[in-house]
Amino acid sequence: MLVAATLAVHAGGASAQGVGGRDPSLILQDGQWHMYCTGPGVQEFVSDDGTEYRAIGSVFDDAPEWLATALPPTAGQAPRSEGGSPDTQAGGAVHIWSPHVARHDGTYYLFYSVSSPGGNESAIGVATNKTLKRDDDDYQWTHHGPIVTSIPGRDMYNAVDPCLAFDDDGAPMLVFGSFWSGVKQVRLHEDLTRVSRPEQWRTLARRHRYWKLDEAYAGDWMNGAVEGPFVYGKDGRRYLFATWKVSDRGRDRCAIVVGRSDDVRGPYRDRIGRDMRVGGGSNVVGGAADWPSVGHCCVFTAGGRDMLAFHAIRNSVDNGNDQRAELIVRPIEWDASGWPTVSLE
Amino acid sequence: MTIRNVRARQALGLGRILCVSVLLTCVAAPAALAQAELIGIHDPVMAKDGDTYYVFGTGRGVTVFSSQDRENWEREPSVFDGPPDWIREVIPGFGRRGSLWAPDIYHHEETYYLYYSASQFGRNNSVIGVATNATLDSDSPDYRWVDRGMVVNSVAGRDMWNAIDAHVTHDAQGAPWMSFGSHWGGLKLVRLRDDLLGVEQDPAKRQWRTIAARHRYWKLDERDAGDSANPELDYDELYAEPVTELNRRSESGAIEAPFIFRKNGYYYLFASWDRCCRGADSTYKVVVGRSEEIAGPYLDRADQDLAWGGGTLVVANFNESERWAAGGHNSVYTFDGKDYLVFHAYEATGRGASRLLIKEIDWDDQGWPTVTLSE
Repeated sequence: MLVAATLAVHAGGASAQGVGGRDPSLILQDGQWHMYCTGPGVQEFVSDDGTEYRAIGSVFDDAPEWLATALPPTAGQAPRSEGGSPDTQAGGAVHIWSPHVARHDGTYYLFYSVSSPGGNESAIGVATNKTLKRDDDDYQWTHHGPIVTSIPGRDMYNAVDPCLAFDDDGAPMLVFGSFWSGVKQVRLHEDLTRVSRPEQWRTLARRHRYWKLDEAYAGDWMNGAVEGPFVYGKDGRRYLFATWKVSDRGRDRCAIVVGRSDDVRGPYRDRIGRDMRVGGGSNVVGGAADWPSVGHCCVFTAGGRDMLAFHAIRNSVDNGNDQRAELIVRPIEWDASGWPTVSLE
Repeated sequence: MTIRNVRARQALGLGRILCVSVLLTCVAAPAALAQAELIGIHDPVMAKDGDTYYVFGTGRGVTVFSSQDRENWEREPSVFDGPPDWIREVIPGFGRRGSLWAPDIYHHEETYYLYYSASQFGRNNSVIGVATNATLDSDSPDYRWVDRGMVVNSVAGRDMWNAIDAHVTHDAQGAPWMSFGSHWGGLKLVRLRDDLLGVEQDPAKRQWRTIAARHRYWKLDERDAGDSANPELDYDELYAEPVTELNRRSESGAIEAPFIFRKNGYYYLFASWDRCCRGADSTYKVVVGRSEEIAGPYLDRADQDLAWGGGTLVVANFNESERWAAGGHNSVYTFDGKDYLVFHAYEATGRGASRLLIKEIDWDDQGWPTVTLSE
């Protein structure tokens, strides 16, 4: 039985796991934690206690078959911060971004995205399995996709950073997006591997973007910098967590914000009632001296305690331009009005 | 040949509400119109088959007229008896008697391609479809319009563009393109499949681009065209009242009807700004920009990018005209070595009916097109 206090332990200056990784998504199966992160073939970490994680390598050895007809051969690059370039072929295992793991009706779903840095030629797919334990006899991933694709010049959204959500009647939604016109939601078919027909779409979160910016340009800290959505249900409400890029004393950094709604379809409003579709969002965790930049979170419950998992980037004077992200897990404090905050102390 | 007696509605009489349904004047008319009388049409495009000219416009099954001289027109059978059934599967609210908007007629390798749009006022759940024929001559044994289905559709909440107002052409290298769009994020250009019946899907060849746009306030709801006239939205809930009023009176994002014409090494992109469909209160106007490449950027006479609100006025003297209040949604064709602007204009008097105008284009010494109204 996982005790929340163990996960909260954090020696000053070091992450609880000392694990390098980005865009974590966590789930528990039979007492073992599985954490999935951006990386070649999706990088997996496992833990028996939620505190000590060990890397067990790629989930997928080969690129999903649907990729060859959905995206050009240059797709599948690492993010720019990890040396990715939009111009070269992705050799070897395809670099997969922002996995999102969920369990539904006895099946495990691993949503993921494939893209190239700086552009929105991207696609989201999902792989299904009966189990996450690699030793199980029926451990076998099956790829489905693309679920949604974004094409530069056609779409003002980027098909990355997927996350699954359900309405009160159990209708599934895919929530995704990064920069451009923000976070989108589309209703899924009940098998979770494709969009429903007729298509039902809306925008959940958006930030100011100058209208004259070229559609090929993703945006920046003052133009549309919102990504990494995560929808969490609690006490009859839905919370939409997202990552903003902001400018702080001349340096770009990321922060995690939130809004909430009574309906999974929104509108999501922050603490002071601002709609996230017009720039609203209240701070959840905004970085501290050692980690000025935090982003791309997921929420999970361990031992009855809500936890936030996210990555942080040191960006310290010593590290200079080191953009290596480290994984952090912290308990969420819910205040009397039902708003979440997380401390990095 | 019988002339169909078509019941039609006018834009006026509906107050400030835009009406982009059938806008023909009553066409219960004798077989040949008097020479001075101009036919009622909306969004005209033209083609010539043999010695006969044909004009196509918005209408229930796409409206068609023919002429031997481009002055005396007689009514032809519509392309369809009614809108194709598949449209209602893509747009559930589309009526069985709904009108098809803004056709384009394109002749390529022995086949005529007729592109048409289906949509609903103020919303961007829209489709562009295509039908083909071997001939436009309805007396020919080979005359048969065959619907080929959907080319592209736009989905509210997903797309920041509206799949109406198609125009198809090949570039100088022989690649096929479709320009289209109305309001929202502006006019799009997309590479078509070589068979002209769909959008190119191959990731190595597909290409999309925004070629013209006007300012749009970033906070507007994605389901708002820019004019706060979507009947499915509750504007009291969405915006403060001054914002709604501003949108309804402003020209935010009001651009549509692209047409690309090649001349002297340039692609000229014509488009229409401001408000159609309000009779004598319309503010519709034709603008143009040009580019050496079909994908743009299209720059106007003052080097302003059409994607950033640029555009040079083509018909400059509507305000001096006694007969016409406004006009637009043009096409451009060359007949006997002369270039013509084909468009509709709203009468300044009476019911503000929209009528077919065909005016010769003057190209100035910098290569910019102008049209001067004479009445």
